[in-house]
Amino acid sequence: MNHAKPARPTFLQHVERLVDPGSYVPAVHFSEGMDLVSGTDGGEALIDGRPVTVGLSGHIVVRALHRRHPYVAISSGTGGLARGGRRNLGVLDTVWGMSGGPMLAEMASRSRDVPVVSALVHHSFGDSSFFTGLSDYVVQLKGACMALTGPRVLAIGTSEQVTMEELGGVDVHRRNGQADTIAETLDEVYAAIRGFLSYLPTHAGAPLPVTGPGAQPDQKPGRGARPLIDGLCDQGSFFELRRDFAPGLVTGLARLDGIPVGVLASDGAFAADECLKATRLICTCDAFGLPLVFLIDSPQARADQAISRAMMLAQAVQLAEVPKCWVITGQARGAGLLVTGPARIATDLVIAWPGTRAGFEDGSAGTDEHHWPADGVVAPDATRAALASHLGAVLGPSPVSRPGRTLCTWPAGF
Amino acid sequence: MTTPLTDGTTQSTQSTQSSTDSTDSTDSQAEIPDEIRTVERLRELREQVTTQMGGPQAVSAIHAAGRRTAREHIAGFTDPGSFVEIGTFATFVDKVTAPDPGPYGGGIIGGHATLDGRPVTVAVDDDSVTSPAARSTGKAARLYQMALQQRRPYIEIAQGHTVPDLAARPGKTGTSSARTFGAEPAFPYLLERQRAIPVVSMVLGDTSGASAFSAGLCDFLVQLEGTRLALTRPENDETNGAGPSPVASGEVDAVAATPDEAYALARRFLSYLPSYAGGPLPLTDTHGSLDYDDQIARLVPARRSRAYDMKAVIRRICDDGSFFELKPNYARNIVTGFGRLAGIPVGVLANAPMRMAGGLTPECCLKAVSFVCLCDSFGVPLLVLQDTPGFLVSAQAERDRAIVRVMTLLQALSLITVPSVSVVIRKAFGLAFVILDGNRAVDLSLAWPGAEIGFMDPPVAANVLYEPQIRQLPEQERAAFLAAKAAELGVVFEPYGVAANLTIDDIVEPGATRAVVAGHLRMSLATRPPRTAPSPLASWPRWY
Repeated sequence: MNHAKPARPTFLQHVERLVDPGSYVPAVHFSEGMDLVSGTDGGEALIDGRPVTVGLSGHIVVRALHRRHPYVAISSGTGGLARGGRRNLGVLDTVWGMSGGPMLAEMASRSRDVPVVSALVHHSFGDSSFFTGLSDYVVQLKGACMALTGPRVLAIGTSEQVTMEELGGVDVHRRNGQADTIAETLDEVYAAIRGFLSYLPTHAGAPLPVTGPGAQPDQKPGRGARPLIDGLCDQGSFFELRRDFAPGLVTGLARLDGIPVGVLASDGAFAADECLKATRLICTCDAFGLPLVFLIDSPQARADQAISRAMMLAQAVQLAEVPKCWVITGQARGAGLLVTGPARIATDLVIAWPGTRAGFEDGSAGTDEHHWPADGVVAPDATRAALASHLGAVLGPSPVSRPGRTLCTWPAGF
Repeated sequence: MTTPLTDGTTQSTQSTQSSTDSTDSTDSQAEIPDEIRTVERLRELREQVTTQMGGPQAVSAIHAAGRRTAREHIAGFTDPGSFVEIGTFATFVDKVTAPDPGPYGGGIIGGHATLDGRPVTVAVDDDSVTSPAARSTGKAARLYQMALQQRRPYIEIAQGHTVPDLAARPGKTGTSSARTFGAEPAFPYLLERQRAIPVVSMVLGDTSGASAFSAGLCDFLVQLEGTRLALTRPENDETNGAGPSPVASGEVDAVAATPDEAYALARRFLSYLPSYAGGPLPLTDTHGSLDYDDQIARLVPARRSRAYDMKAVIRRICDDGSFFELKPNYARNIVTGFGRLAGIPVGVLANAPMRMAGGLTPECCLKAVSFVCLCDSFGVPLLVLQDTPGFLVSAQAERDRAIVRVMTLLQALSLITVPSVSVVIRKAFGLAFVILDGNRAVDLSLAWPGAEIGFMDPPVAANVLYEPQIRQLPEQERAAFLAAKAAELGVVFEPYGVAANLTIDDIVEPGATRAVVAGHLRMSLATRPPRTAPSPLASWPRWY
């Protein structure tokens, strides 16, 4: 039987399925050839009642930067060559324009003022893929390939023969951390975008999207990073990022009594990739005013080329100006202890569970001793309440995201 | 008085006498033995502290191993007689409860000195002393703060294992380690340093723990051959040393065979930088002629596939003998280093066609970003010399996070605030050209007349663009067709195309390049207003 493959959705079909029904307003603008173009590559819409700009592979991202609301790139395309290359060969004046120069210039110097999201719904090369490297969040659909250039150019230029999957499929980017979420279906892609944006303000300095008092978790904080997070955060609120990258650290967004937070929980050996994973989330949270919650039980620190990366992470923690909370749930030592280094007293909280240990290498010092600068020893059952009341007190009744001033200009990707 | 404190012999006995007299005239001296108030006592103690350090045996052991003590390093490194010690009598032990405090120095010997006549602050691990775990005198923090306040470079020599005093936090005093100089170790301040002053770390002995922290936060990291640098001690290294060394991973900027070589490297590095970010650049006389150079064009073969030594081109453009390469053995397809042009310090970022034809890997991006951050933070102008087929694409590069690495280089070069010039020496294509040209962030974008600039290497571009036609041709005609189409593109890729619409600012004769770049830098430095805010890149990590 010869069933035709279902046609790939067009940009507009993606938009219809992503945004609030009927909310899309196409952008009207002039194309390079001065033709009037209406909404085929972008426009404004609402997601969960909040404004966004949606565009094809970075088109009209400048509008989102100007309007100060999130941008969602529906990434699909082969970049400048296919779009403008053939047309412009006669007058080769557009190396810059063809390589996405104007868009890249805007994006390269942005300072995380609005959340920028990339959804890889189909193969993306050239400026489609470049855009993902400058985004705060990347969701990749299974079957889509993300790479600097495609297999065909690779075969011609270097004679390397690889499939789309081998070059930049989901298994490549789930392991190297360049995709924050892997989606099996398009519906999962749309849900992931809506989910990610639901934790963030529309722009740096806007009100934090605090929901009502969150549902109590349906379980007690258990051993291991994920059961621990599930036992501390609002029920079902944990939105994990880069799950299969750097497994020694579990990172994601969550809610604590309705307050959106970034969560970083150690889960085994800690090395260079874990530092990259942590730094990306810290930069995002600091730029958009989300408090950070560190859950530390780090029995070992691996030594591989970790000095500069460990210091990079320590710098990120130190330079982050959002409220920070640390919970020592087991042993804290080595790199795990590093992230619990210097704290600002007025907005930060360091609590330890009874009987936990801390030390640089040997974990010899009890956390209740003078050596460990814990603000208090708190029972596991009381930890959620302690964190929520601290954050509630620091942020006040109607919290506005108070963006940090430094990390917002750090590299877009780690 | 400018007399160094350590030079006790120059102080007169007359003043000793008068100070003793004056204490006798006060009332409440009964319980306090006279001698501790005397200059003799001070001199005796200082002599003992500075010569015996952690004890004669410890010092002998260091010498027996062919090594140098902390004070010998300082004497060997700084201008003779310039060292003024700070915290000579710092100690881990509470002086009030322990009248015999044991080894003085607090595990770190440091103070102020000059280097080639310019003031610097130094802090050296004293490996004759075993530091108690999780105890800090806060001496390194004090020295770093002094360097920051006085706006002068801070230089650490690391050669030991120190357990970081993580309990000490800025603002939280009264911990077990509270001492004369405050409770904090240096590293929390280094975390917030944002490259306000140059920081140099020399690793001259096995180094781990807090002693290794500065290595991950400094601007210039020199490591002595045969030493071990890691966060943890060997017994706690679960990779058993199998992990890549800081040299292999690119974190180390230069490797030294001897301590003397390390000193020289650090001194050379600092000679290109101002004493503080925003400070005046250390200018020198012009070394070498600025006249037309009729030799330089011969260094670059016209045939695009022929390799040549880009460093030879750099040396001819820069002042004689001024080029100082950083990370020479890491990601060798890109060259980074300092030089001078008409006496003006300049950071040189150049492709190296000798390696992978100058193609750029994710590692090249790391090396370049780190260097661009360094130059921009300290106001050192940037000179980019391009000859690259582009970013090397491969499945391995994609696995190595090529997209993020390349975009980070784009960001870094887009954010530069220093005077900058880019010259396409022979070829530059697509995204690599866009990025290395600073995405239009460079002040002056030039190309040599033989340069090719386009969206893709012409043979590959011809293959991609004309694939449908090629497929219809008989096998034996394809090569000729491709060559013809590539040649067509080659004409389109001449620099006059991009010069026509100001994608580049001008086409420059190879022989005039040195004079043109020097002239631009002179004018830039003359007219640019002083920087009022730090560069955004100043806060970027040294390695990412």
